[in-house]
Order: sequence, then structure tokens, then C-alpha cells
Amino acid sequence: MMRRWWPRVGLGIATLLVVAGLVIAIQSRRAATGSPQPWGAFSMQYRVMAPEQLDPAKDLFQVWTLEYRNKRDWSQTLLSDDAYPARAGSTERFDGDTLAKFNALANTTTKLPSEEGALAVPHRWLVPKRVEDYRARGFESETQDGAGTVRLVKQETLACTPGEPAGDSRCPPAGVIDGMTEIVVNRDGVPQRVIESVASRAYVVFEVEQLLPFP
Amino acid sequence: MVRFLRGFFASMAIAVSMASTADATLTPSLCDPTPKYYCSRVSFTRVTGGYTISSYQHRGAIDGGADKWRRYYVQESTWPGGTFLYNVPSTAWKYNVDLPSSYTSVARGITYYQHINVHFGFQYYECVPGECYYWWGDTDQIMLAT
Repeated sequence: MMRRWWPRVGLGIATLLVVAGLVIAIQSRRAATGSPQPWGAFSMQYRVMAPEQLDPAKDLFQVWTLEYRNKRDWSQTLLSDDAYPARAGSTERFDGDTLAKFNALANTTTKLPSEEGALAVPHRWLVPKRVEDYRARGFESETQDGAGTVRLVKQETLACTPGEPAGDSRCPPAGVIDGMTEIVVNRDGVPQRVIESVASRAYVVFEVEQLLPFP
Repeated sequence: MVRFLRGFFASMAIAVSMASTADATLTPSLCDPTPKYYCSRVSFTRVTGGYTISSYQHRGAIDGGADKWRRYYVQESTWPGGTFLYNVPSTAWKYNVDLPSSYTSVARGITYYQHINVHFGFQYYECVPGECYYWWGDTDQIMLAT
């Protein structure tokens, strides 16, 4: 009689252990990664306007190469910089807890811990968002093509300081100017191109030059 | 070396423009291109062989994109050596949508007899359902030269 029982009890215990192990693994995984990954892994080369526009006659850009493994693990390197060429070689690395920034121009490294559970993103235009999130912030959307590309546009009125620079002109006495933001995202929601316009002057402030799935 | 020299001469654009005045001077405002998110500048006075930084000035805004912003730091470091010198700490979170007309000024009052790099860092928080993210205002660098 006992010989019949033991295999069944053993099998039951083994099954319970396996199930418990799976539950623990899934819970641990959720605890480690938070909400689902909004974007898959990719490598990207993108161009942005340099922070310092030292030459009013032409726009100055930076080119970055980004390896985005997931929202908690990414790194990027500055390939070129029109404003300060010696700043090329700067790096940023995020490990889910700390953003480490090396500034090649100043030769300084800064480590910035995450606060309030928030995650660092490589650039202001690379916040993982859905089209609905843009809509919630006043953008209107339209699908551009069969590939799922979406164009998002937001018209706005910007406050400015009369007499101070606003785009290519000066802020008028009324202290307001028209502005527009246009974002094109691919079917995964990854921005491909961002144009910000101020008083009819358009700036291509972000543009993807190359986007590849990360191996 | 060539890369360093090109960067040096580019940075001198600001340094030279500052050197033209002997009295209290403001560096040109460095803003994001549009400008919608941030501006920063430095008030300084020339002294023999150096300069006295009287204040750091900045302003910022969320422009409806982020949920809140703050000045995270103003860092001083030697240049080009990169030795850290001083850090102005964070402000409280701010929620204004548009760039305000006035600058926030942080008094400093220190005299340097060497080149330094002043680095403004602006931090922005942006939450979407399920996650909050933060990004940095592309930190402005202002090079002060003797």
C-alpha cells in the first residue's frame, strides 16, 4: 500500500516545488523590471541640436550613438559635436539605479542616482511613450503610412520675454509667439524626427540617422 | 590635440566676448534652441589676472511636456583638468509651464585665477501610466577664461 503512495506524494511535492519556483521567479522578475518594457532593444545613431548655439548663422548639432538594451540598461557615446568638438567622446550609462555621465570637454564624471523610482532616459525625446500619452499632452495624431508611422502635432502659444531672442527673431511686445512641435514615431512608438517651430522658424531638434534592432 | 584645440577655440567665443567689459558682465544667455525649456548665464567681474563670479542665473519650464523640473546643480570644475571645485545644490521642484521672464539668481562671490567650466544641470520628470522617467536639460557649459 505504502509503495503505491510514495511515488504520487513525491510527484505532488515536486509539482508544488516547481510551481512555487515559477511563481517566485515571475514575482522576482516583475520586481526587478517594474512595468513591461515599452520598447525592444535597439541601437540608434541620432542627431540633436547642440545645447550651445554659438553661431547664429548656422545650427550646430551633436551626433550620439545609443545602445538601448531596455529601459533600465542603456549607454550612449557622443560621436561629434559642432559646438565643442572636444566634447566628442562623452558617455552616459544607465544601469537602472545610477546615471553615470562622463563629460569629455570638462573631463568630469558625474554619478546621478535615481530618485522617486524614476528611470533615466537618453534624451528628452526618447521617453518611452505611446501615442495615447502624446494625445494626453495635447498632440493630435495621424497615421502616415502602412508601416505604422504616426505623425504627432501640437500647436501652442509660447510666452517669451519682450525683446529677448525667440527663434530667429525677437520676442514681440505682447510677450507671446506661436509655436509648434511635430514628432514622427515609428510603429513601436520610437521617435524618428522632432521639429520644433518658433515664430515660423523650424528647428529639427532630433533626428534618427540609423536605427537597428540590438543583436 | 587638434580636437582639443578646436574645442578650445570654440569655447573662446564666449571667453572673448566676456573679456570685452571690465565691469560686471553677464555671459550670453545659453538657452535650448527654441527656447522653451531652460536658459542659464553667469554674472562676473574682471579682476587682474582673473575674474569674480558674482552669481549664477537660470530659468526653466516644463512647457507642457514634463510634469516638473528643477535645477539639479551648477558645477564648477577646472578646465581642462576637470578637477571638481564646487557644486550649487538642487532647487525644489517647479511646475511652471512657460519660461518666466525673470531669472533665478544664486549668489556666489568667488574669485578664480584659472580657467573653469561652469556646468548647469536641469532635471525634468515625466510620468506615463506605469512608469516615471527623468531626463536632463542638455546641460549648458559656460567656459570662463582668465
